[in-house]
Amino acid sequence: MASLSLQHVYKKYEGGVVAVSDFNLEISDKEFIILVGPSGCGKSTTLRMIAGLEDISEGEIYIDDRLINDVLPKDRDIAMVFQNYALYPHMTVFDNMAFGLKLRKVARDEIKRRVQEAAKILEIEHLLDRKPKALSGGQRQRVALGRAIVRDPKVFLMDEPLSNLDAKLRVQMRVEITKLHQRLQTTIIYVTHDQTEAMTMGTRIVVMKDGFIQQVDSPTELYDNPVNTFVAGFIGMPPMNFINAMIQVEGDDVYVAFENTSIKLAERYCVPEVIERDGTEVIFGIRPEALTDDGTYVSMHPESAFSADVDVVEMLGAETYLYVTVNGSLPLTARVDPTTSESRVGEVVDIAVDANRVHLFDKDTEQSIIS
Amino acid sequence: MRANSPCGEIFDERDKVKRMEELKKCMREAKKILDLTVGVMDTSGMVVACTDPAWEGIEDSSARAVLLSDELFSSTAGKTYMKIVIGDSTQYIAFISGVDAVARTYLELVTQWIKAAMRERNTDVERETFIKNVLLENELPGDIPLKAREYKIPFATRRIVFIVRVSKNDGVECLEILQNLFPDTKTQMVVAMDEETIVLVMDLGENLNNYLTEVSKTILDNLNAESMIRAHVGIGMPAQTLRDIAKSYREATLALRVGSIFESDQFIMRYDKLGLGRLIYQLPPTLCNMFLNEVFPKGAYESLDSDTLVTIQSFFENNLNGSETSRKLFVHRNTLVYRLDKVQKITGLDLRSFDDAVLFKLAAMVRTYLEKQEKSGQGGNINW
Repeated sequence: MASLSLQHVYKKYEGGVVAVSDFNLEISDKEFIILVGPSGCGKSTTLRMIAGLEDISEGEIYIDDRLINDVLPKDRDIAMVFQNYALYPHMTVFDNMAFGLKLRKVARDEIKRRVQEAAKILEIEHLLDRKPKALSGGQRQRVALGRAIVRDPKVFLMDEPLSNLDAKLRVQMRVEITKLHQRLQTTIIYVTHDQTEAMTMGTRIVVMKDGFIQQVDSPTELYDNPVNTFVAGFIGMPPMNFINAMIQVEGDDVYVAFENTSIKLAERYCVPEVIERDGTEVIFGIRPEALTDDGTYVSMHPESAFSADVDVVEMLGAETYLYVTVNGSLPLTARVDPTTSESRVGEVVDIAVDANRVHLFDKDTEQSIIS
Repeated sequence: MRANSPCGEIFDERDKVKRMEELKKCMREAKKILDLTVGVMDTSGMVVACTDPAWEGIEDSSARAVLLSDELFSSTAGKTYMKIVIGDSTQYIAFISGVDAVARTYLELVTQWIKAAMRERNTDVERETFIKNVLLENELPGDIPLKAREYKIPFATRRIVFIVRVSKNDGVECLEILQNLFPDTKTQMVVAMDEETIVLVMDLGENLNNYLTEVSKTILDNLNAESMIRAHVGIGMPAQTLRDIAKSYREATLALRVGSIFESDQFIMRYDKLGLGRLIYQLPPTLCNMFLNEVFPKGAYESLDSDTLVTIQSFFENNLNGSETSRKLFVHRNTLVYRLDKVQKITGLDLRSFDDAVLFKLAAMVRTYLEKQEKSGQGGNINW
């Protein structure tokens, strides 16, 4: 088990391509850290630099206070799990898990002990004599994890290990890996482009874009207090609604005006950072669940309500998505309660904003106005 | 030079280990059938495989006498010995506990079994050498179909060549991993060309595009995960017959070389995706220098700082879109305009115009090529 420290790490390729810029991160022992971001954001490159599979252009990486910049990948005591990780088709599960240890010339008894221990953790003891073709997708993935576990590494690095699985299996394996982390009590760095995986698995999440860290926080903090529009839009499904709006201060109250509508914000937004922007344009962010068509709520909060045309109603069982248009031009998505919602396609409905759960971003920098 | 012997001492050693494994496998099987102790020793008397593993590594002092004897069989100290002659020389000595006729018969059967296994192993080595010679164009074209038939390799099958390049220290492990990852020797042939080059010749299905990338990713991910090996994969074009795999091999080699120059951030290089790089690589350096001197005034490119180069790269990546580039670089649009103006002032090329952007891109690639050529000429390690 180990802690990691990445200090001012850069990855620059010849010809000016910068894959990772000024990456700073402290990872505690036993932490489950997720690197998340769109394709090409530098998350896999960062992981490969930690593993030693990519050279570091600038900066320093420490594992347990030991500088590892020049340590060979094999000597870093790290195990990796990848997306395209195939099992050896002619070998049994036992031999598949033992193969890496045999290459390292580990003693036969020790190999047996480690494989059986890993199989027990993964609950695949009964599969040890089977060949890969006799395994289900989930079982194969567990064997792939087993190949990493038998090494007993200080740190596990996982690069989109679930991307090749179907949706149902992915959900199942997500839970398995989370449980595995609890059982192994080890440090895991996990790369994914899937924000649902990130939110459900990590103790902390690093959101990356274009090689830069955007925000490092717990899943709740990322969701509730995104630092910029990118994080706000990337985390959450359906994504946050963004509206070009104007701040209007009237006495002690702050309003956000857009499309002939004016929403009174809650008291917590009456702070200098907002008030001093009176008359300036901002990006107004509303999560879909902060919009409601519940008649009771709307009638109790007329100062934060507006009318909209219902374009599409998506009934998902536990929740309903309303796709509405304000003033014929501003599309918004609302996540509403199917037990109270009576909205139908083609109707004009009153929608209210939960004025306590909105976000304000600078129009130019796209950074959150309220720190 | 014909590839008649395994490449390098390290692969000789590996071949020896493989033979030992084969012998041990025979002994494991024999143990299931016989209730007598049977084993094999090398010509120095060291027991290399035995039905009782406790005997392995022990030296048998009778070996010398057995070797000197003119007889094929010898009996001493409660054991019967039999020389295993392969070709013209005694390569191993088999032994069995017991000196009666039954023990002798068992020993003779075990010896025949071992010889058959060794012959099969030799055929595998010869087959591997044949493939290597085809790849290196050391076989006469007319001989290839005949030898292919001899080694039971279908001649007119569509195949493709992958080259996996690793560091010298990782060659043996890489070969071991790939041979286990692609164990079907009928459709997948894995051969070591040298200590850092492993070749996979694979039968090809119809689904070319995705399939090639998937196979390459699988190779890389397994090498990375299993042994933390850094590797690059070069892929040639499909070969219609066994004779054509030499061309596919040449293409894969070129893909690695050109890719290392123009796409140093990539690990998979496909010949069919080399694009402009392949064209530039085939131009003579004198012509490249002439072109470069015509495009960039003396010292112009060198005076561009790293921030400007990053800006240019990003501007190209974003299809000359200013707003997108400034957003990606976290700079104000005016800063981007200032930087592009500066480039125009220094180089005379306005990158906002398509023609100038193409010229700059080409010249920058030519420059990279010449730099790498110079570096490899000075003993640099970039030239795959």
